[in-house]
Amino acid sequence: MKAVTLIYAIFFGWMIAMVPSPAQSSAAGTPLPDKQWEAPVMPGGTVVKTEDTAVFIDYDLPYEKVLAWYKDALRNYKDGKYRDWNDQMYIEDLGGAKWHSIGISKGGGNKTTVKIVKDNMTWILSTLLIRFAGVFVVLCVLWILLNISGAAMKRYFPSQGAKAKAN
Amino acid sequence: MSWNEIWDLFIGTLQTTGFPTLGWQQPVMWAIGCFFLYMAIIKGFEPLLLLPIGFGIFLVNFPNTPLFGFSETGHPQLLQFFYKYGIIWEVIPCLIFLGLGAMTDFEPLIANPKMLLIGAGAQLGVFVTFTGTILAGFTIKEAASVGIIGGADGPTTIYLTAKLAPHLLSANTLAAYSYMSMVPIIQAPIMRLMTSDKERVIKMKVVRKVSQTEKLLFPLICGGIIALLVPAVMPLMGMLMFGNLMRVSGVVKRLADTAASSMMDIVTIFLGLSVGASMQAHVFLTYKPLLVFGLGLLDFVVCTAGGILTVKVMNLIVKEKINPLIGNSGVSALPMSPRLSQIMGQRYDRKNYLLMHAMAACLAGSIGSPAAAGMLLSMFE
Repeated sequence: MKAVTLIYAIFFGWMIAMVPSPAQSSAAGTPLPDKQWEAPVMPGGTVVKTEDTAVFIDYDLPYEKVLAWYKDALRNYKDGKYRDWNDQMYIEDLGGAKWHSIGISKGGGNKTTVKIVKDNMTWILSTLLIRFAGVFVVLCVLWILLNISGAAMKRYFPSQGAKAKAN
Repeated sequence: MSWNEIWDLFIGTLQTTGFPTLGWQQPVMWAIGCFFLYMAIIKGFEPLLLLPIGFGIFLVNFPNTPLFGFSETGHPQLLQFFYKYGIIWEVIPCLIFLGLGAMTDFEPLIANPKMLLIGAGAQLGVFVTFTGTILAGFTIKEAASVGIIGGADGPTTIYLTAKLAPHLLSANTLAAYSYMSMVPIIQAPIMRLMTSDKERVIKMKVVRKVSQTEKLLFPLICGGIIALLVPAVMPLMGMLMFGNLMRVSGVVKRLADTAASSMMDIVTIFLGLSVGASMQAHVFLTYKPLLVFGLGLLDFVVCTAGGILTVKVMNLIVKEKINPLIGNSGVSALPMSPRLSQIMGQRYDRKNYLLMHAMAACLAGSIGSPAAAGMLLSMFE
């Protein structure tokens, strides 16, 4: 048992160690870079907030124009996945880029905020934990259904069970 | 005929040979091909696959051979044809699953469905290696394709890699099949390390007999669940369950026999040659395929440990204890892993028969590994 506990402790300790420290925000007004963690940055905006892992940029432009610019800037980037959410268009990197996502806010009229998030292990670890748990869920559902069907067979077709035993 | 003409003819003929374009990379690849041939023929490691793979590597790494490119009119050349329609179009892995389904008796798993949890736990390495692979500089898609190696499921590895990172196909396939053939070398020390003397002699009850109706229901239930929860892998699981239904129904014996024997053999030939042929020097001799072998080994080790840990956790809950020596079989390396569980079990108690229980865990792994692949695929859909 000690070995099991130790292995679990190492595994979870490693996972906790991978989670980055809390972000620190800096004052607004930072000059606008051409690129942020290799992600394209649309010119003409104002940096309103900078954290260790995210940058927020405001534009006095409607959502559609900002989205069109980012779509054009990323047209040759095949590993970007677009998720159209209610409050924002979320462009997620599935490649090896240094940025993780670009969020373009919706519904602000002529004001749009772009949030660029740095690539981070938190996302990878959480998605993997969820997916690993997902494998358990799939097989657990199958387990439950096999148990139910096995019990039903025994109950409703006892003769078959006896025949199987005899075989 | 003048001397100039003769010289010209000689030079022209020489230029059509492979010599002018022969580099140092090709002999390296011949050596790698010959290594796999040696492993297959002399050592008997997975000969059905390593022999065609080894020869495929050997064949395509001669310059100017019209085997793996495209003709001037754009038609795929012989091995490119097999590769394109068999692997890239994901036909061969699915046909292999069809054959496997027709060959496999799921009775041990139906009789003891809690073993499914071992198959799930053994996918731990898939997800741990995914993280490690990203840290090693691979992209997320590449990491997903490398991660699945640990499931020790060749067709699933090919299926996922062909979808996500086709340029790693040869390395991933080779790593998956190589580690599967090295089950006793890799898994035995981990099993010894992670189990106590007391645990190794745990005796498990003989599994109950399963009725014909349950066997018939299994492909329908399992196919249905996978289709609902992880539809991305239904081409694989659908074929596995169809093959199994043909087998258990008993009414299409000829079809089941063909799927399990002749069809499987034909598909294996095309699979081996295509995978081998995809290992051209300029693709293979880069750092990524070489790293894949290292990461694949780590993956296989963690998957084995994951299966054993799952048994230990289950033993905290279940009334009838499970021998953790069957945990290694949660990876779907059939029949090597269950055989190892049986051998190890008998080493500590000659009257301990673990084979059928280990088979159940292994069959659970053969469902768990496509389920893990489906979870990874769903990230990109």
